[in-house]
Amino acid sequence: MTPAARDRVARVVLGAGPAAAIALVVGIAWHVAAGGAGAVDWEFLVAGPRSAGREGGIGPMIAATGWVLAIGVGAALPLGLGAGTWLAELSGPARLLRGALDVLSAVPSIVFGLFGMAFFCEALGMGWSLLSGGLTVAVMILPLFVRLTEAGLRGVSSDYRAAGAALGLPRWALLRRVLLPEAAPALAAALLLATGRVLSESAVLLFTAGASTRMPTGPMAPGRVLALHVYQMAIEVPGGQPRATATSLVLLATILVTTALARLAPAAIARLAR
Amino acid sequence: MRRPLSDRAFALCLAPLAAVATACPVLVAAFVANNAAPVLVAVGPMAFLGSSHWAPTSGEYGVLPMVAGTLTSSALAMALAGPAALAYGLHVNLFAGRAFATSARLAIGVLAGIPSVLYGLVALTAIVPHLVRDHPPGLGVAVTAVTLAVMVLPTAAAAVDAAVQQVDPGSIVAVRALGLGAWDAVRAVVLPSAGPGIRSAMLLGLGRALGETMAVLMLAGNTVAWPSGPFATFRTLTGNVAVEMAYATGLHRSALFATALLLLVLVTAIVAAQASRTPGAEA
Amino acid sequence: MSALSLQGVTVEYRGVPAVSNVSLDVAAGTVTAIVGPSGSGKSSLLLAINRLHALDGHARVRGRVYLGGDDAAGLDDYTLRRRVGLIFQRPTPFPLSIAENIAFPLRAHGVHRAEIPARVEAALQRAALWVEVKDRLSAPARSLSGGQQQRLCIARAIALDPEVLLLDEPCASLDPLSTARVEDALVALSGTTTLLLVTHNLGQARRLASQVACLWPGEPGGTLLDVGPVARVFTQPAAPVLEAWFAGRTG
Repeated sequence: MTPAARDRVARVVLGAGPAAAIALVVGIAWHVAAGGAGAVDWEFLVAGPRSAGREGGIGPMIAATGWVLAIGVGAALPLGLGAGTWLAELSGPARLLRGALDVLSAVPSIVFGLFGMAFFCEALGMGWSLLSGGLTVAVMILPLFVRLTEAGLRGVSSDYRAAGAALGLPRWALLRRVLLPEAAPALAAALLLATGRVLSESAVLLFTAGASTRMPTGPMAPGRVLALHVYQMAIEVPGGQPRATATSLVLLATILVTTALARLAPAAIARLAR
Repeated sequence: MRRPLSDRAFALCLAPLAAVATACPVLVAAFVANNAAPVLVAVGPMAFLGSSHWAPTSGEYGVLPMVAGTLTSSALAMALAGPAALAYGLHVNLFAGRAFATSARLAIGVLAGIPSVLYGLVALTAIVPHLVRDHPPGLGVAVTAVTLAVMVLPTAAAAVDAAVQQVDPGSIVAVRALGLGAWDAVRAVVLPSAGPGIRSAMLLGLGRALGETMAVLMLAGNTVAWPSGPFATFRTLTGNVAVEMAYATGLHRSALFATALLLLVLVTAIVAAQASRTPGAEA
Repeated sequence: MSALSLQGVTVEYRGVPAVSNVSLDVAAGTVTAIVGPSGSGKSSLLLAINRLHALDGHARVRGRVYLGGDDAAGLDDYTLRRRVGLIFQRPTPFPLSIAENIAFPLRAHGVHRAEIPARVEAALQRAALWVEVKDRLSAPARSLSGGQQQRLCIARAIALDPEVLLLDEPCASLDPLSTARVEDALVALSGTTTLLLVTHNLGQARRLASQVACLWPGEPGGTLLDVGPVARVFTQPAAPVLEAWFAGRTG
């Protein structure tokens, strides 16, 4: 077989991979949209569930998700920024930290669920609450924040560091005034990607924040996040699958929007800064 | 002019944050292990790992069927997703036109962001109904493995893509300059030099499959049984924990923590294997 | 007493010397040029004076550097680099406004906010840039041309009132017109500040400097072959290789 013929065969055979990916996305999106679009309206988004969720809406679930997101990102952000800056700017013992984060990012979410339950709910006495859930989720997304902060800072031109050093400027002043603002687009993307990750979690929150369908009154109350509601409707409630699909549509749309923003926002922010 | 705050003070301020971040996995392991200890002390690790009798009501905690369930479903998933990920990585970098490559990468990016419950739900509402007729209840090894494969594909594919991109373009050009084709370049240059990265990508996918909970919960059937055939219902380690945690107490609860500990050990082993295969990889 | 005195300075990277045993005195308010072909260690020498070589963890400096009467080894990095400024080959403005590029380092070094606008203006005047930018001080520094950016970097450095200003081929990335403007600024500066200028351009050395030091590549590391008044060194260099080099490079 000539090289050209080999390439023709290879192009077709290997093309099955990316083609499958595209087909899957289209198929999944269509299936969810077709099955769920009918049920999604404003009432669905704000009202509470009735008849175990077969009727009514997902308002409390959206609220619970919002709480978990706010707490999770709020706790992980300073830790991630600090550790990421450490890795990018200082030459301390980095291998240990990197190893720790590698392990953390591979841990299955169910293990985090148990950890969260044992540590936040029981040991620290927070009980089944959105706070426990949020803090557990914070531990889960920490590696992501650290990695993206470090990458963002490393991506800033080294010219600024050289100029800063030649002027005898202390590291933190240069970071605050020049390096971090320049890394801001990358940090914004990190925030949005972390949001997508938090929205996807269900098992973790089942064990830490509970599965209550009532509108949460505050961070110490239990709640059911959207992803968990999908599971409950699909498996635990007979006849709940249509509602599960409708909830999925809302969840998927939100995640797609945040992922898209994560890709587009950095360029947009950078352009605004000029 | 006054002396500016020294770099050492700055490092001291960052140090606690970095220390907390480093402490997290240790904390996780410690709490899980602590809660797992009672059952391991009571029945011994050999009985835990080696017995195939899981009957909490009579004090039996053998997880062997669940280990088999986890390994079988993950291995099957990788058998499907691995080649697809490799094909994807090679195709978009060496054979595809720009538009197709961009679309495929976008598709993988979107697939990576879809939550596992959603994959489970789609499989439940799109695939299982077709299987229920001939093979009730339609759940089991086959649908679980296929769904896991789809879930793991974006992870492995993106990693293969990255590994292939690292290959020195000059060496590929050198092969083409000899009048040979892209496939020849793959065999002569790309596979050898991206090999470690590709192996690492597969390990990444395997790790993801091992740890998957929600979709498996929805599709495996969750009976404590050996995964004996494509339509046999079974249970994984992750499913074991998720299903019984709600009502487990005492030693039973401890056994579930022990299951989680086992998972933790498995994924740590995979991370270690990855670290040794990818030279100089960043976190 | 000289503003800057190097005594037996050797700079090594991972044990390999880049420049060996250089001794040089620079009188206050004068311009000294350091010339030499590639590989003679000119930049390494310069970076060692304000300890910027320390940013590369594997560099070592031997010998002594004296700033006025003070041993540089006794000064901490921040103080040393405030007293000895450095201009890089490529302009390195911060991604801030023109005024903020100068104001930020002043603030970070503790200058009172009320004094800053006056010092910014003074620095820009000394760098011969004030007239061109006085109406757009809040414009981004990167909107300036290459030559203007380099003069901004000079303004930023001299705003800190250094005793010595090091310049590492400051005009290497500039066109002839911008080069002329930068050279004019340096001439104006030289009365009040001591300048140590690394340059590839022998004509520039002749135009600006009163003293010239010639480095030549060698094993181990570059060495100082000749140092003295500009006129004497260029017409009667102490080493035949220099004479040959000048002959080939002049014109």
